[in-house]
Amino acid sequence: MPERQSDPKRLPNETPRPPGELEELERVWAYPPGWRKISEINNSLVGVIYIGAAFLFFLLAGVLALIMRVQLSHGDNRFIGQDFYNQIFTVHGTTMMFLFAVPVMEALSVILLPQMLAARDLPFPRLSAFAVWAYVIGGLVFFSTIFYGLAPSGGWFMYPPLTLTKFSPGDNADFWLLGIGFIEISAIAGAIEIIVGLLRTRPPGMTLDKMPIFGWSMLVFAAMIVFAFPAVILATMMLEIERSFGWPFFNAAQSGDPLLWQHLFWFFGHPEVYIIFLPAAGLVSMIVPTMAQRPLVGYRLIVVALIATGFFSFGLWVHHMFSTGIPALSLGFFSAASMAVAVPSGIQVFSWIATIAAARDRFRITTPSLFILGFLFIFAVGGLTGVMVAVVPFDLQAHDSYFIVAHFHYVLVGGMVFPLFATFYYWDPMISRNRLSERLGRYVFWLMFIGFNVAFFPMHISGLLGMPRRVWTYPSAMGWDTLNMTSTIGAFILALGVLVFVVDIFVRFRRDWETQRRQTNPWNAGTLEWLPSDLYSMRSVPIVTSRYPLWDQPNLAEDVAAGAYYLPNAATGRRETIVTSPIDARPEYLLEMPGPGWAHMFSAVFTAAFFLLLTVKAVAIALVCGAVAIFATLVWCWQLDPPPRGRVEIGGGISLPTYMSGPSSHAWWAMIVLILVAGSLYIAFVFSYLYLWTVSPGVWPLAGSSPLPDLRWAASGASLMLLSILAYGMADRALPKPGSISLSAALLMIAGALCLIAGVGIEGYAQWRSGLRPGENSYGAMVYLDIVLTGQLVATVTLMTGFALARLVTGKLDAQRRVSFESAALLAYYTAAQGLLGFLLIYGFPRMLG
Amino acid sequence: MSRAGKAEHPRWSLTTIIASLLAGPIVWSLHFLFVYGGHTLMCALGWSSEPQIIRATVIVAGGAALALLVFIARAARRWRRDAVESDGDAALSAEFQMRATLLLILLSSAGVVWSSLAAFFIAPCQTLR
Repeated sequence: MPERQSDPKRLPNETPRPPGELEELERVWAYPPGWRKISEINNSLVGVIYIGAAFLFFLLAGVLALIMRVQLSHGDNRFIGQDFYNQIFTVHGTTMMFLFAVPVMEALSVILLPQMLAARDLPFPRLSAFAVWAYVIGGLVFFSTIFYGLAPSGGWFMYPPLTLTKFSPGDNADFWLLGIGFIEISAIAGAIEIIVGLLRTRPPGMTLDKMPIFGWSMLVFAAMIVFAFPAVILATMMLEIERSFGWPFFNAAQSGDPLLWQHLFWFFGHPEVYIIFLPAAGLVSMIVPTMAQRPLVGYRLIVVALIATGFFSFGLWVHHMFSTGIPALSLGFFSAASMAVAVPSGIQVFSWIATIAAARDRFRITTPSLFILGFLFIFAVGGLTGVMVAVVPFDLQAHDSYFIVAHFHYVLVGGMVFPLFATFYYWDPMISRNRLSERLGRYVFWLMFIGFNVAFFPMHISGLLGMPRRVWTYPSAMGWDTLNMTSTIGAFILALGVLVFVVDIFVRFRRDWETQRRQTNPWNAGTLEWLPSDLYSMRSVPIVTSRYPLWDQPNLAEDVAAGAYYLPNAATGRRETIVTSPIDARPEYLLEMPGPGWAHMFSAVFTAAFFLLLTVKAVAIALVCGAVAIFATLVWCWQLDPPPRGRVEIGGGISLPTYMSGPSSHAWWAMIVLILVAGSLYIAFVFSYLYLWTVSPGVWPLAGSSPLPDLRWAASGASLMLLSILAYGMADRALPKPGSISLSAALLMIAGALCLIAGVGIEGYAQWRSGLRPGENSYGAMVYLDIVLTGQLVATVTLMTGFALARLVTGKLDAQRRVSFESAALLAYYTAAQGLLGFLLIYGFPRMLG
Repeated sequence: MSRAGKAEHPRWSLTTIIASLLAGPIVWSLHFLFVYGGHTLMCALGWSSEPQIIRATVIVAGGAALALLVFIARAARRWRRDAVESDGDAALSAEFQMRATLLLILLSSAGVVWSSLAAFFIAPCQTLR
């Protein structure tokens, strides 16, 4: 805690600052020279690579869309074949949703958030860099499958039974699962970075109700990733296990149910739409006030709307399944939730309109404003057709027709792509020396706006005329030719707009890689990202007293640049940032940050290689790559948790500690977020277990023929789990004083890990001994999946414990410097708790049924 | 809460803020899970011959959720009064959080009412095909 609080009206530091201070800051934060820049992890550079990669995927998937439109331009066309068409629409959808929409929002957040929060960087830049490289490699390999006929062809949601081995032999579907695996990794890494960054690296004074709306929207976005992605992670695991080993989760002939996939996929897939839309809405809420030159109308209402949308969107998953035969009353509940979610979306739209209407002078019509007005129009149409398809009887008519294609493109392109282009034009001056052309920008907008509507509006009609989705061609006699030709022409106009934008980027975008010089606040915006900045972000970290500090705090830019605020130097001689308290943003400690390196990149490359080689069944070499990936990760982690360096002054008489452990530390927070992810995944598993029981109660024990091991097995397994909690708890107390090594702590850690291993091992042995096999029926598959889920956590805990042991032996772990142990112990507690819940479910539920 | 407690109370813990902000939506989601899961389960267990019981369950669940939301809203208003009595930035934050809490409860109530309405119009356990 700070030794004394400063008066916010007085500047913390005297200026001018001592000579050499700025040079030291520049030296510490400088990028490595030449090609070695790729080893840099600063989010200001990694974010640009991230956004570039995501935009590349947007262009590639757009080209696929054009090929589809050419094929569909008139009836009985033979431009491309059916199988290739199927691959193209699958890769188009998958790339747009997974490789473009979610990553581009995370990319924007890692570029914008440190600036908006005036932080030197977000807390885990190396994790971001790892996620980016894994995503770039995994994404490129996934996309390239289209060139050699290996691409998946089951649609972006890959419904079984079509995607089971029987109907989709070959590796195509496995490549889909692989590609999704990478985006799952990078999404969750991003969510951790964003949540901890937003709650812990805000500048002093920026209480939660002064946080920029984009911050709120990213907070809800990241929380939604934490709860939504685990469902699809579980689903993809199950599908891959079923394809590779024949455990019947989705095969109805063996008591599985293909609808389970739809439940899990859409429990992720529907929130996914809002995961994409909410950040875009956050961006709009930042741009509109600047163009209106007045604060956003209804800040609090928008925060409420973001939270409510985040929640309600989880109650919508079945509205993608209205025609699957679910009881009508259940559909009624989902229909009601679909209508409920329209209310918070409406609140936001009205807030923006009110802000525009209340503009000081006149709402400025610039390229970003045009894209926002276009967004309002297109998104409103998409929202209205959304309310239409939320009405079950209408949905039954429109289901799987081009009406749906029109609806979701209006929502996604209107709700996300148009705000994104507004963002490119609005924030480009923040990272580029030149601004993009306003004149060309208007061409880009009108081409895209007209092209989009010409392309997609007719699809509403072709859909109502009965044209189904995903057909590679249709007979001319159907009378759909004119509408389709119109759509094709529109698609090319839209593409022309994007092309003009790309040309403008090539001509004008110039990033100065040595220093981050840029134009300062060309739009006269009110938020912190427009403060003067360099590679180290802001020279000093300001005290924030309003939601629009640049409008309300005179001389802020000059004082920040002069170093009059906190941390005007590299206080520890290394990269660092101030960590503040989560609610009222009081400085708590100084976080020492990592610098450039290669370990995370090796880790990413070899993780990618491991999964790729497994997909093509090159098992031996895959295992070698996997080992290298783990080794590289350990090397990376070894550099974490640097030794405490005492307290340092950050200005204004505040001195902060340079080390923090326990619930105040950023590491603890990250671990909690990760545990929430694991917990959500396990809840999805429990849902799947109960769901399959309702489908096939006959194969469950007692009712059916499957055996259930004796309760004594469960009792011993559960006791081992409890013992491991005890062992880790005791090891915590036995950690030695700095400079010494404790044998008892080491033994207790080993005992804790061994108890977990034995607990899972016993369960596996008991089930195997009872004669149950995972491939036998859906019950067997679920029982062994429980063991796999807890087993993988146990493996991770064991690895982390071994790592902590190595730190203990080398004197890098003690009662004070203890974060590596705490992280292992936290995960161990969670693993034991999950194991106990597993015993309760597997042994208790069938007995409860009698 | 005691008088002395109020004077020093204005600092809200993150858990309190999250709990209060999310109270409404959490009640909505629990209600949603209960009516969706309960309806599916009752139909799976062969209660389709007793539609009135299922219907009554859904309506009673809606009533209970609404009552809970009203209770939380009243508590939230009380907390706000306490917090506003303290002064400074913390009071502003508390005011902000409690108003947001109340708005979220209002939206959640609308969600609960809409879901419950379905039970008045649609017969339980029947599929549309």
